[in-house]
Amino acid sequence: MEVARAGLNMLMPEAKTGQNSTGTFGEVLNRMINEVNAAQIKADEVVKGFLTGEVQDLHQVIIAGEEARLMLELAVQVRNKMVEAYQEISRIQI
Amino acid sequence: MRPFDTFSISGSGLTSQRLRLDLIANNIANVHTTRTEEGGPYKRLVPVFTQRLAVAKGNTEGVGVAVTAILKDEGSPRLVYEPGHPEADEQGFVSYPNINVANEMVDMIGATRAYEANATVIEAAKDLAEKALEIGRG
Amino acid sequence: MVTGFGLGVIQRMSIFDDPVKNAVSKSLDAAALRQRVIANNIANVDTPGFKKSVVRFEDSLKRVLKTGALPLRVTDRRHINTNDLSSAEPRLERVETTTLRTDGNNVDVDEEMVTLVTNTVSYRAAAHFISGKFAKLRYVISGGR
Repeated sequence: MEVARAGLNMLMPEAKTGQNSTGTFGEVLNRMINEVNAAQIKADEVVKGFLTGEVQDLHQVIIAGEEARLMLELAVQVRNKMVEAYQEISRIQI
Repeated sequence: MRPFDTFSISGSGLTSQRLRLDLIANNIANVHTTRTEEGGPYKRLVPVFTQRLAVAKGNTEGVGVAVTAILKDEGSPRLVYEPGHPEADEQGFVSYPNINVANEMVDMIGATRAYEANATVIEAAKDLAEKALEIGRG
Repeated sequence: MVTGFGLGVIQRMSIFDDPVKNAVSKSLDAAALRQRVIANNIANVDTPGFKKSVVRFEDSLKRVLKTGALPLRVTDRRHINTNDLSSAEPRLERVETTTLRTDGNNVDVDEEMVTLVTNTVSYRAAAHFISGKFAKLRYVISGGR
């Protein structure tokens, strides 16, 4: 699962090598979800700031939204691959 | 500070230049007005442009322009010798407003050009906003 | 298995921590600020005593990008990052030294219009670059579909 984990780690800028390799799959997944969620919240905050006039530049809003969307897409794609891999394994005849 | 601040900056320029044009039109229309409510001939109106400032993140930033006062030109009236005129004084002079139509026309061209410049800046700001919205769409 | 250096690099950076993308994003900030400054200069073309402002950005960006030409690897949180773009903030500067008219105003409308056009072009270009960055990421994420 190293490759998949590398994909997850891309979502976690704060994550450190040592900590990640010791995490269980559940922990890694949890951290990933939290990161994705944090990005969505940040994007929402920027939108709020734009509506109230604190953030003046439209491009900042769009860029934050776009980054949040890409993170979500990446998370969903990683999840899809996980599920595929699981199904693949579950079909193996012993 | 409001969103689309750049539009409101140029918008304040448009408003001010339009007001300036209105005053010029008024001045030219009243070039022969010899009688006003306050007495005496019409006095030329001049706008006072002042920059608008706003404090953002600790530093003062210019956010456009405003006409803060409309002053009356208190210069002495133009005296024209017209003894037959009902408004003429004992020496036969009529006090006409201190307005030079040629100067007003030059001022009008200046106001029109400044108005157009502000309109162009708004177009550019619109272009920028549209381009920002396109990020991530293509 | 992705091991060693490759995995280390991936783990240290977020997919959005791309120095070029960050520089382009800063350029967008600078161009948006410059647009507002031009708008203010033009709006005050007839304000007596008004002094125009300009945005300084490209020089400081160049300095940061040049020193970061050979990026030092940051392997610890306490290391100083030479690619730090935060030192390349767009700066507002008031031009007090020139005078164009008798009322002390120094706004040159023609010059402002030229700056407006070049600024619009560079903003559009920067927006295009950043769109391209996102499109590439999306292409990779979707597995080349």
